Amino acid sequence: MVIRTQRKEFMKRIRWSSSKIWLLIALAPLIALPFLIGEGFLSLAIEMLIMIIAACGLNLMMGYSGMVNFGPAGLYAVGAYTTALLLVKTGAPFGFALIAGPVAAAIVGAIVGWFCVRLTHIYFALLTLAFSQLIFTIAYEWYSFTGGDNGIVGIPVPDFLAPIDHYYYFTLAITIVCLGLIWIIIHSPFGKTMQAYRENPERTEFIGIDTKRYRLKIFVLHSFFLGVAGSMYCGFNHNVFANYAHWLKGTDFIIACLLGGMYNFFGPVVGAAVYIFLEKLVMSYTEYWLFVLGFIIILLSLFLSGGIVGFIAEKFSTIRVKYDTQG
Amino acid sequence: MSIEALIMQVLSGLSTGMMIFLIAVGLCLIFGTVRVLNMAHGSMYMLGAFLCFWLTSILSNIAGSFWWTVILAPLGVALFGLVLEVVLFRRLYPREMIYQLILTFGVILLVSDTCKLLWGVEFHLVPYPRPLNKAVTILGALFPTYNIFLIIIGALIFVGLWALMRYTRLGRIIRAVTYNREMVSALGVNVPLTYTFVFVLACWLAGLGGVLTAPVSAITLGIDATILIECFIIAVIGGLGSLTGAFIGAIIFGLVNSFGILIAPRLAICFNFILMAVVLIIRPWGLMGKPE
Amino acid sequence: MKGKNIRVFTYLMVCMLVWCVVFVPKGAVAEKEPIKIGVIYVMSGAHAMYGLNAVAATEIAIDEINKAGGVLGRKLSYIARDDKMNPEVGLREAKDLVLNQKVSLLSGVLSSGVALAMSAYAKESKVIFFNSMAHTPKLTNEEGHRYFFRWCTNSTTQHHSGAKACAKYWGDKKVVTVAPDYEYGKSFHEIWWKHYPRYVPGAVNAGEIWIPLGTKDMTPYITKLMGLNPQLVACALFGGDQIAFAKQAEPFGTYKKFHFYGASDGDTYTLHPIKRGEPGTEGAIACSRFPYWMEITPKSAAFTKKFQEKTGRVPVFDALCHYISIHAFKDAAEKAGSLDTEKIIDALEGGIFDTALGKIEMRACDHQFQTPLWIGIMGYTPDFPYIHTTQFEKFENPYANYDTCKEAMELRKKQ
Repeated sequence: MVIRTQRKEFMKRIRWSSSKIWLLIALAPLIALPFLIGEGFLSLAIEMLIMIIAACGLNLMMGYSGMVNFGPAGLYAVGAYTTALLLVKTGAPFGFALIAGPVAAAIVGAIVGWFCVRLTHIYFALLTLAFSQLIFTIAYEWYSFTGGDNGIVGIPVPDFLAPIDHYYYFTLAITIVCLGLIWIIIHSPFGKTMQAYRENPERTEFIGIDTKRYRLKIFVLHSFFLGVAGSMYCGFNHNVFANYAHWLKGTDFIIACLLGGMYNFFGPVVGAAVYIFLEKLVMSYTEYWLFVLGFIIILLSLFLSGGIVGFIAEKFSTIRVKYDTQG
Repeated sequence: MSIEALIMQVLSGLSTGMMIFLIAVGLCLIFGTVRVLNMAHGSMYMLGAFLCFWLTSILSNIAGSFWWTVILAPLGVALFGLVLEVVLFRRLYPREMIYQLILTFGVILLVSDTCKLLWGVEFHLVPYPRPLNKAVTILGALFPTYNIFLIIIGALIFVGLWALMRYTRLGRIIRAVTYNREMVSALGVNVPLTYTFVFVLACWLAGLGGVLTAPVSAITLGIDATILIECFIIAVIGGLGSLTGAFIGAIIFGLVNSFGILIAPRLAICFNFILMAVVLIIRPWGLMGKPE
Repeated sequence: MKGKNIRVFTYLMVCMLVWCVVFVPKGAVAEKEPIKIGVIYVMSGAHAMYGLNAVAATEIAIDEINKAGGVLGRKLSYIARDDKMNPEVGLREAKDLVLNQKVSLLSGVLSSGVALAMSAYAKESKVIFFNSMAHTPKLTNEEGHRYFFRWCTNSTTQHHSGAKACAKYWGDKKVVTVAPDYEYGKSFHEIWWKHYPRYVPGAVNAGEIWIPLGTKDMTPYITKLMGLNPQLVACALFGGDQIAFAKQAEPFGTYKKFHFYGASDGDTYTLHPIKRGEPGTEGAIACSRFPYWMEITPKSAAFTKKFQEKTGRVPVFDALCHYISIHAFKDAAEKAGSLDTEKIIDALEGGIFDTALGKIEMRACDHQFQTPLWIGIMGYTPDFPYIHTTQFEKFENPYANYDTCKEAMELRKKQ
C-alpha cells in the first residue's frame, strides 16, 4: 500500500515534468520561426499571436465562466486607442503606453461590467453588444480626439522594435506571459469558482458565493487581456481605426474561441491560429471566404462543439484507451 | 424651426420606424415563441431586397411589376426560411445560447456571400412604384406619398398580426406555446410545426419588409448587418418577444433617430445605442415585455 | 487532462513547423518578371463603379505600354484589391501587396480616409503611392511627403472654384451644406466656408447636414434640409450616395425649391442612369473633372473610345487620372533609366507630362498634379441623352484656386 502511493507520487511528478518537456518542444518551432519564413508570413504569425491573446482572454469569460460577451471588440479597441493616443499625443514612452492600454481596457471593463453583470443570458449579451457599439460610435465620431473615421496612423514605435522579427519575439514573449497568467487564473480557487458558476449558477449562488462580484472580476480580467491584444496590435500595425471596436470584429474572437474549443486551455490558441491561417488560405483561392467561414461555423456548432482541440483530444483518448486495453 | 418642419421630421421618423418595424416584428415573433435570437433575420431582409431588385429588373416591361414583386419575393424568402428551419434551426432549440447565436451568425455569412455571388457587389436602386411616386402636400410642404404608404402599411401589419394572435385559433396556439410548451404538446398540438410556422411567417415578414423598403433605401451587401443592429435596438426597447413592444419600440427608434439628426447631426447614431443600453440596465425586459 | 492537452498542442506545433519548412516560400523576386502595380480601390458597395472603372483604365494603360515595349524592357502587370472604403482593409491590402506580392508601385484610392492611411504606410515603407482620386488637401499639404503623388485635382480647387461660381451665378446668402460624414466631406465643409464668404459677404451657415457613409434611408436628412429652408444647398455627395439622395429628395421638391451646387454631379457617372424626362438635378451648378462628351485633346477622345469599347460604360475622371498616372510611371522610369524608387521620384518631380487633359506639371514642392476643372449648369443638349454640365467655363490656370507652394509648405511645417 505504501509502495503503491509512493509509486503514484513518483508517476505524478514525472508526468508534470514531462508536461514541461512537451511545452518546451512546442515552443521550439515558435522560436525558430523567423529563420524559416519570410517577412510577410512572419507578419501573419504576429497577427496570430495577438489574436491568441485576445481569444484566450475572451475564453476566460466564455469558456470558463459561461458568459457570452458579444462585444469584445469594444474593449480591444480601448486598449488600442489608449496606446495610440498616448504615443501620438503625449509622446509617452512605449512601455508606458503599452501597459496603459490594458489598464484602461480593464477600467472601462469595470464600468461596463458593473452594468452588465446585473443581467444574465441574452440580456447580458445584448448589453455587451450595446456598449461595444457605443465605444465604436464614440471612436468614430470624436474626430478631434480619436481621429474619427480616419483613425490614427503613423504611430511611432521605438527603433529596436521596428524590424519585424524583433517585434515577433516581443509579441511571443508577451503572449507567453499572458497565457501563463491566464493559466494561473484558471487554476486558482477563483478560477475554479467561475467554472463552478458555469456548470450551475444557481447552486454556486446557493453555497454563498456572491456571483455578481465574481462575474465582475472576471469581466475586468478578460478586459485586461483584450486590452493587451489591442495595444499589441496597435504597436504592430502603427495605426488604430474605429473599426477595431465594431461588433463584427468581435465575432472574429468569438469564432476563434469556438473553432479551437471553448472548454480547453489551448483551444483558443489553436482556434485563433487556424482562423487566421484559413482566412489567408481561402482568400488566395476565392473571394467567397465568408461563405466558407459560414459553412465551417455551422458545421462547428452542430457537430463539433468541442472545437478542434476538443475533437483531437477526444480521438487521442479513444486511441489511448484502445492502446491501454490492448497493452 | 417652424411647426411644419417639426411635423415633417416626425413624419420622417415614423416612416423610418415603420420601415424597421416591418423587419423587426419577425425577430420579435421568433424570440417570443422559440426563445432564439435569430441573427440571420437581417439576411432574410437582404434576401427580400435583392429578390425585389432582381424581379423588378426581369419584369420591368410588365405593368405593375413592383406589386408582383411584393407578392412573389416574400414567398421566396419564406420558402428559404422553411428549408432553413427544417434543416438547421430545428437542431438549435435545445442548444446553449452561444451555439444558437453563432450558428445563426454562420447563416448570415452564407446568405451574404450567396447574394454576392448572385447579384454582385454593386449598389442597386429600385424606383418608386406607380402610382406612389408622387408627393402629398402636408401643411404646405411636400412629403413623398410612398413614405406615407409605408407608415400605413406598418400600422396595418401590426393590427393584422395583433388580430391574428388575439382572435384566431392559430394565434392562441402560438401564444400558448410561448407560455408552456410541454402542456400544449400534451394537449395534442404539434409544437414543432407551430415553431416552423412562426419561423416561416417571420421570414415572410422580413422579405416583405425588404421589398417594401427597397424604393426608399438601397440594395447592396451589408444592409443585413445594419438592419440587424437596428432590429436588436427596437426589440430591446419594446421588449424581446412582444408584438406591441416591437411596434412601440419602432416608433421610438424612428423618432429618436429623426430628432437626433435634427438636433445633433454627428451624434445621431449614438442616441439609439444609449437608449438600448439604458433600457437594458433599468428594465431589461423592455417596455412591453415580461420579466423572465 | 492537462498533460493530454499539452501533448495535442505540441503535435500541432510540430506539424506547423514541418509545414513551414516544406511549403512556405521565402525567396526574392526573379529579374525578368513583370513589374507589378498594386491597384487598391473600392470595388463593392455604393461606390463600386469607381474601382471597376479604375481597373479597366489600368488594363488599357498596361496594354498600351506593353505593346510599346513595356517599361525598361519589362512588361507591366497589376494586382487589384478592394478596400471597401475602409482604411483598415485598405492598409491591410497595401501591406500584403508590398510585402508579399512585391509591387513596385501602389496606386488608388477613392476614399480620402483610406488614402491618408495608405500614404502614411507608403512613407514608412518607402514605396511610391500614386493617388488618382482622393481629394483631401491634407494629402499634399500637412500629410504630404516624398513618396506620395496626387494625379488629380483636389477639394480645395474643386470647392473654391465651386464657391466662386455659385457666388457669381446666384450670390445666395443663406447656405446649407450637405456632406458625407468623413474626411472628404469635412474638408469640403472647411473649404467652402473659408472661401464662399469672401465672394458673398454676409453669407450665413444656415445648417449642416452630415450623412454617414452607407446611409440608405435619407428621409430624415431631407426633411431637415427642407425645414432649414436655405437659398442654396451646397452638396458634396457623390457616387451611389448622390444617386440615392437625388432619388429620395426629388419628391420633396428639393431641386425645384432651392439652388443647388452638386460638387460631383458633373461627372456624369454619378447621375448616369437618369435620362431626359426623368426627375433629375437640372439647373444645378456642378463640377466636371473629365467632360468626356467633348474632345479635350486627341488623347482624351482616344481614351474615351477605348474605354467605352472595353467596358460598355462611359469613362469617369478617376479612370482617366489613373491611366495618366501609369503612363507617367513609365515615362519617369525611362527618364530615370531605372526602377529605383528614389530615382523615379526625382524624375517625376517637376516633370511636365503630355496627357489626355493637356500638358500638366507634377509640382515638385507638394507632388500635386493639377488637372483642369470645368464648372457648368446641369442640363440636356440635343446631342447627348444624359444630364451633364452645359454652359461651362474652364478655369484656365489650374492652380489659381489652389494653395501656392509656400502655403502648402507652411501647413506641412505646422505638423
